[in-house]
Order: sequence, then structure tokens, then C-alpha cells
Amino acid sequence: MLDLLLADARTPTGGFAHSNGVEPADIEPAELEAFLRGRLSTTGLVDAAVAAAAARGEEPLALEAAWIARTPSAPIRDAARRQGRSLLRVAERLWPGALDSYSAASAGTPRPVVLGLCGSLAGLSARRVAQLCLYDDAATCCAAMPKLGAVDALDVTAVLAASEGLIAGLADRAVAARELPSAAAPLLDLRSVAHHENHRRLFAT
Amino acid sequence: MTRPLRIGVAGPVGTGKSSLVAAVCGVLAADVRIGVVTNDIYTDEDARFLRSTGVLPAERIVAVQTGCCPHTAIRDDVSENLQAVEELDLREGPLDVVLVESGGDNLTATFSPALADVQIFVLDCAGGDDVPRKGGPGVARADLLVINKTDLAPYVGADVGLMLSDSTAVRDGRPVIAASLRDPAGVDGIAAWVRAALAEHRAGSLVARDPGPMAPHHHPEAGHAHDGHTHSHEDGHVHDHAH
Repeated sequence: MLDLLLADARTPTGGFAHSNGVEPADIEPAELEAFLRGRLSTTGLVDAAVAAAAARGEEPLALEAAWIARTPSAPIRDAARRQGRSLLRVAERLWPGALDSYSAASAGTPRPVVLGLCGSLAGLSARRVAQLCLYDDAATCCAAMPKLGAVDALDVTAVLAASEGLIAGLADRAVAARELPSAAAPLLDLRSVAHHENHRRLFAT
Repeated sequence: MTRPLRIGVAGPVGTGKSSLVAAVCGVLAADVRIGVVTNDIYTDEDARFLRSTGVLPAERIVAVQTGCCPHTAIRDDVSENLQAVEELDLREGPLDVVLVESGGDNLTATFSPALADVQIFVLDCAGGDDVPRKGGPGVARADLLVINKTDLAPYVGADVGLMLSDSTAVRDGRPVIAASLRDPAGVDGIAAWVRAALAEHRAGSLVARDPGPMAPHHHPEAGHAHDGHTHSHEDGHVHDHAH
């Protein structure tokens, strides 16, 4: 059940404050599916591979460095750090003390690494963690869409459901890769920086 | 070392929360180390306004985004706000007090005790003098209720006396302060209340009391079928509603 808990936006980790690039991209609802495909196949895949590696027990600080090297946008790194910290609060309540040494040693606490560590504590497989990471990314984009554009939330839910195959394939790739992928989405990075400077925004990212 | 006292400032949009925060900071900043976290709905306007007043160093004022959910950010998922308070204290601290200003919401929006140790609810005369009578958790049970913009009352046909008496009637002895930016006494009263809360916090005797999203309600206790009682949940009383 803990996989469901970790995937649930009602678990208090501040996810409601993020659009994961949808607001910065200023897309129309009809473009959401294509947006998801692009995002999940690039930065989504990197995040999922990092989360899966953390769940498999690879050294989290090394993974953190690898993730940072693959995440050139300072606002995205900073948001992931805060989201990771929020997830650590959840972990501290569910598994007291289990992540103390990581929490003290890590400056970056990127959400994908923390999610992987939580997945490991929850007894999830690396594949499940990769899938969860991708699903969370997609669901965050989808949940933001009705707040930003004229669209029925049911239509958005249908888009999310239709991403199942895409997410399954990417989760397979995330765990099969012999080294961490470095797929990038420069436009997402550039827009995230412009978004951070925008004083009229609804979402943190 | 104790962490800073976290004070929530809630109340509907436009009741003057930011201006009050600025005025109170102006009174206290000489000897109390204050930080402010603003929760804006779709801009960082409040943070920029506060910085522009010059009452605090600009670095002591930060904004968090609430993704159109100002209510959620102070109640059911306070993680972004807690994070902002802790980072502010680490970076600029140690701070004595952090004021967390809500993005402005409806009468049911109050702070979770996980975020605010004490909270102020702000109404204003221009919003209608019937609002205290309509009530709600913030009006009835916030630690301090402020009736703001009393200077506007004659211009909008609001009866400040009625607002104060309606408020007092539902607040069971909790304080109410009438304030306006043109009346130093009101702001001084709020500042004195903040000092008293800080003293309690430092003494370790402050217990966060949740105004709660729920109105006081009635249900019979098991075994006391004829002795049901009405209560609110502010006392932290835990019980099973299924009985």
C-alpha cells in the first residue's frame, strides 16, 4: 500500500504548488499529451533512473551529484531540493531515524533520490519506484492543467490514464540502463529560469 | 535554542493583512528579530510590498507559491511554508518571530497548528459589518481577531461597535482589537499581543490551539446517552465520532 501512499498527492509534500513545467511552457490543454511525452522521455527518465538506483541501494550522495550534473536549471534543482526535504519529513514520520544520516550529509536532497530511498524503506522494487516517479511527474503536470487552461479535469484524467504505456516503457528503460541516462530538455530548463523571474505565477515550477 | 515563534496571519483577501504585518514589524523590529513568509495567490506582490516598506531587511521576507491553493498551503499541506520558515531562520536567523501571512481566503481558512503556534484573523470594516456575525473558525477561535480599517467605517456605513460586540459574543473571552493604520493604539495593541505570545513561547508554555475548520457540534457520548454535550475541538480533545 505504501506505493499508493507515496504516489498520492494528498500525502503532504507540497506537490500542489508545482506544475512541473506546464505553467512555464504556457501550453494549451490539447498540447498536454505531447508535452508529457517530451518531458517524461527526457528529464522524467533521468529522474526515474536516479530514483530507481537509490531504491536499489546505490550510494545516494553519488546519485545526487549525478542528478545535479544532469539538471542544469537552478530553479528546478532548488524546487527538487525543497520537495525532497518535504518528503524527508514524511519519511521521518513513517520510518523515524532511517534517513537521518542521509538528511544530515546531503545539501541537495533532490526529490528523485529521496523518493528512491523512501521506496526502498517501503519495500518497493526499483521498477516500481521508477514507475512511481514518472507517474508523479505526469500527474503533477495534469493536475495543474485545469488551473491554467480551459479544460475539463476529466479530459486531463484521460490523458494521464493514456500515458500508462509510455510510463511503463520508460520505467523499463530506467531500470535497464547500465548507466544513468542523460536525456535533456533545454527548453524546459530555459523556461523554468524565465518562470522563476516572473512575478505573476501560480506555481513554484 | 528555541525555534522562532510562528504566527499565522489569516483573513479574507483585501482586509489589510500585509499592511498590518508591515505596521506591526515597524513597531517591533527594533528589538525583535522578525522574518515574514507571504503566501501569494498569483503574484509575489505581498512580499514585494513588504520589502518596499523598508520595515525589515529585504532578505527577511520570502514568498511561497501556493498553486491556487492558499487554503491547502496553511492547513492540510503546510510543507512549503514550514520549509520556507526553517530556511529563513537558518539563513537570516536566529529569528525570534516568523509571521506567515496567508494568501487571503474565505472565512473557513485557518492555520494548522503544525505551522502556526498562534494565529491572528483579520477582518475589515469595508468588507461588511455583518461578517463577525456570520462567524467561522477564524472569527470565533483565532487567538487574536483584528477588526481592521476602522477609519473607513463612516464612509462605508459600517458599525464598528456592532462588529466588536458581535465578535466578542462568539469569542468566549479571546481578544479582539480594533485597528487602523491611522490609529497607533490598535497596532501597538497587536504588537503587545505578539510580545506576550513570544514570552509564552520562550517560557515553553505556549500550546497551539487549533481554531479548527469545524463549528462546535453536538454528539452524545457513549454511556451517557442522556448527557451529550456541545464542544469545539480547540482543546485537542480526541474522540471517536462513530460512537
